Amino acid sequence: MVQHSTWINDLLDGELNTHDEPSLFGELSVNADLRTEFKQQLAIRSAVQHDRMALVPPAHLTKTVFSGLGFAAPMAGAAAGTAGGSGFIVPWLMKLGLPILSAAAAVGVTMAVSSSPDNMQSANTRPNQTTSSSETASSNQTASSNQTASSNQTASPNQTSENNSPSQNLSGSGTDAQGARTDSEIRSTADVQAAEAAAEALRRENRRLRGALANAQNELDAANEPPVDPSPNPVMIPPVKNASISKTSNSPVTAVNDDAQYERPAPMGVSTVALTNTMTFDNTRDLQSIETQIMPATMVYTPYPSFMVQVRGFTASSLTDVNVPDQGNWYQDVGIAFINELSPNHAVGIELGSESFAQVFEGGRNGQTIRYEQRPNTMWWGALYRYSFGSLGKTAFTPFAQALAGGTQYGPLGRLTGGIQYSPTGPLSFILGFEGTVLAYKFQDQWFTSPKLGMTYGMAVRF
Amino acid sequence: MSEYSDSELYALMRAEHSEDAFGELYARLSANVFAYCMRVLGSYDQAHDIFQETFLRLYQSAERHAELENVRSYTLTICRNLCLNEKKRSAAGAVEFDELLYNPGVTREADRSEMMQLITMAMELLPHDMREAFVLREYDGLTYIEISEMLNIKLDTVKVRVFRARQKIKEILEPYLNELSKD
Repeated sequence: MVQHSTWINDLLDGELNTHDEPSLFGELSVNADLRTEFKQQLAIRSAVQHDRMALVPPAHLTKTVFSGLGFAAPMAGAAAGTAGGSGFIVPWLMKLGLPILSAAAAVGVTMAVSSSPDNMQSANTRPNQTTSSSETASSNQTASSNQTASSNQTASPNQTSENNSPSQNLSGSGTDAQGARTDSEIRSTADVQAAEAAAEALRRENRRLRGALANAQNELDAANEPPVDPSPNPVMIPPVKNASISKTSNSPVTAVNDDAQYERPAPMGVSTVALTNTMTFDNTRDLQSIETQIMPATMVYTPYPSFMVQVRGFTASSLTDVNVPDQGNWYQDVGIAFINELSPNHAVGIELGSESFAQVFEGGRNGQTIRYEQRPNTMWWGALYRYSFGSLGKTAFTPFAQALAGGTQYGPLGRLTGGIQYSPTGPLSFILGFEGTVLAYKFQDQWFTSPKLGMTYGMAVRF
Repeated sequence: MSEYSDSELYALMRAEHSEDAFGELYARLSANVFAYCMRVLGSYDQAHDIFQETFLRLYQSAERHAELENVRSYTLTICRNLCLNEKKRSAAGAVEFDELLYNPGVTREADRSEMMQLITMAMELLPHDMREAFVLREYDGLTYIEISEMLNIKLDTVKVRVFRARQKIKEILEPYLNELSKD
């Protein structure tokens, strides 16, 4: 029996030889007294472990030690010696600090990218492309009405627009090899400024071309050819959706401009200038561009459905009190979601993550009622539905509510979230909210729950 | 600081008198030292004083040691020596059980547990050498080798002491454990 007790002792220490294990387990299976001793040793060990975890130096003692050395007392969470209420709050705040810093960094990066000198530089060089392309004469072309919207620039009937994209006409780059930009890319204030710079460059180019045209006019006069009508009829471009303006005349068509009228110079050596032009405005498309340019960056037009990937963290506290530590992993309290935004208000998706759940349950074993406490880390997944309530005024903040139903290896899981989404610019957005989670699990045909309450935070990228 | 080992933190404390290094070491070791003081001395007030003195000595010791391999064992050795001195100084030399159990300053959730109270009581009834080995093993998590080096006794002696401490505690608590199993 002493030998068996020694084996139990070694087993508890993790030092039992592998060749002794079968003997011990075999004896345990037939020897009730040995089983009793084993259970008693386990009970003692469990109680000692609980006692050990409860033995932490109080906060005032920690403060005394540090002040005795002339140091400032450490934060509660940094020292194991400070237990009690502050020991819970400070680690929680420390967890919150990381996401706040991350969110601030992400906002900073976004702003830096959207207003970087490269962007400004490329925007400033874009008018050259528009101008140069206008020099490749075409008597039958399509011009974009956005040229008259925010930049007040002159639309030329002879101007060639190789790319009908309104954004490129406003801010397209001739020297910038990055080429055309899509509508969704022009969403920031910097782009609006770039468009204005483009308009100014166009005005300068107009002046230069007007001078050249005057020279050509003189040459035509000298050759007794019919002169070009120097006062073309101005064309107002109303911002009406689905409207189309088409004009055919024998004289050049120019749009009203506060600065100048654009007239294409006749090529040198050409004695006759064909002045029949057709100008078509695809206002449905162009109006979107105008709205994109004149609206704040936070109210950009967003096509739906769109796909979004969201990563978020959790700082939830369990409402179930256990005295065992987390079986945490490095990826604990993190979730990733794949969300399909069906409309500005509705979104569905799937989400998976990893969290620990405190579990306290009781069950019978060999006639004994045993209370179990554990805090296992588990993967969870589920389907979610999110309802967005619309922007708060003209801000970029959008309240939302979200429900998730899913499961873990222990049982079903439900999660309700209420929060706010901040979409400053571009495809990035950030969320912050409160959350309640309940994990249900079953032990010996009895259901138990593990509720948690806390905060969630994260960021999302829309594609 | 969390990326540094105990020895590196101790070296930082020596070289730079780093407050952060001391704070990190304190965070890592304070629970061990406090558990040892509480369970070996048994008196909360004595444990309080010895705990404080241990960390003062630890900080001051950095002046004398170029490097230290096992800071935890060293710190517990400081604590143990202070505890022995305290025991010698106090005429009683025994555990004041009532003081420990009903000290109003000790407000611990765990103390509400009858089982834990009984274990604490049982430990107080152990001879000092057994109790010390048991506390170092179970509360401070030292290996048998570390305990043997710290106490300067043979490895087998440590194992025997821990084993006997467990058996003794079990014997003391047996009536309660049997009652528990009947329920």
